[in-house]
Amino acid sequence: MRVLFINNNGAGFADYIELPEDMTVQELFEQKVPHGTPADYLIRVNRQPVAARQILLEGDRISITPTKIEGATIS
Amino acid sequence: MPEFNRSAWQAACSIYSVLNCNNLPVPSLPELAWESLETILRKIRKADQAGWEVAGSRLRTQFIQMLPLVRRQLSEAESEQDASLKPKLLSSVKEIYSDLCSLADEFDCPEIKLEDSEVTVTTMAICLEGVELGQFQIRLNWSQIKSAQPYEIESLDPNPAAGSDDVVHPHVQDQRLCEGDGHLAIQAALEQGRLLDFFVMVRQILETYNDSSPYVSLEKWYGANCQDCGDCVCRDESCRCDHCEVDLCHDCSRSCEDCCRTCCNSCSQSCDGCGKSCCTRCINHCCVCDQVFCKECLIDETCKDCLEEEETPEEEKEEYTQISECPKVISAAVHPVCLGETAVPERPGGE
Repeated sequence: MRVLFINNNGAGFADYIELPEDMTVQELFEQKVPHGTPADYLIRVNRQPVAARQILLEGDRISITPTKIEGATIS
Repeated sequence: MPEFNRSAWQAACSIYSVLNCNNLPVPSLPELAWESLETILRKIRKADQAGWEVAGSRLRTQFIQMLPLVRRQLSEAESEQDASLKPKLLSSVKEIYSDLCSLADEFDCPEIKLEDSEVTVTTMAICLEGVELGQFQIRLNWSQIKSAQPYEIESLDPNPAAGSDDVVHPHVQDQRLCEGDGHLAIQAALEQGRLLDFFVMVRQILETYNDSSPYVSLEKWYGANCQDCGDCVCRDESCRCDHCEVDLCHDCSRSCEDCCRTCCNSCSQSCDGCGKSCCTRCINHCCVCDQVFCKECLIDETCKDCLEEEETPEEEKEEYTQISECPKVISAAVHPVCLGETAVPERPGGE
């Protein structure tokens, strides 16, 4: 199935990706952010907060945004 | 089914048209580098005609050195055009509309002002490390969405840093957020029309404190502590040691009498020669006695006293040597000053 995956970490990534059927939000997170902790991210599916075990569906929009993003004096 | 939001739809259509406006960059050629190559080539021909072999050889080296520059500029022009022609992931009107409608789930009172081309959201009250900074309004002007920073941050309950009214957040100055680690991701979100991601990321930056790079650190938010006396002083009434960069009150700051730099007590010393107060850069140790002196009191890294001491004993030594080596009679004759010190030989049979 094809979903829109957005990772707002680092330089940012947004593109359509292919995922196996019945994949959960948690599985996708573990695959895409292997060293991350879910508590450190705002994880949204179709712009809404979801449970970790929610199964992803064709056409879903999944976004992962770090809760802590460090600003600076010079950008 | 959620109620249709007309102003959100109109805004989404407008934002999409701004984003979809294709301003392709005009391809550029490495003209300057090419002209330089042509100039070198002309000189090579001239050198060859005149039979200047050394000059010709040098010019050929220059020519070879210029070629990679032309090659690099050409490949940059190629990749720039490639990137501009590549299809970008751009949100559809429907997706932008959904983003605008979802702002209400993340923020208080999102507002769309069609006449000003603005979307505004308000954060919750932000408190960083015990400093209450209040609520912030993030105002995006979508007519400028392709510019470097098309949004402003306004404090609704300003609690600016002491002495810096324009700094209402450690990472905001003059209503501009310094995005730091979020810069590229924010840029990508704006370019692609992902407005919800954009607003959420800006909020997350506002809710995060980076103590290594603030405009004003939170520990000095209410003023700075003078390093020497410990008094708390307002930032515009304090000054900073030019050497170790600690904060100082005006009473404790010193000015180096040589270079006029501001320095703290630890970075300032008095010259052992003239008593002048100098900073650590302008004061040096005498290589003989190790005392500290200003530049004027040192000659070849030696103070005046040590120089005099070095000179005086040698003269005296020479004098003593001459006295002991000279015959007693001659000694008295040549050095009348030392006459009194000359031993008078005893006369045989005399008293």
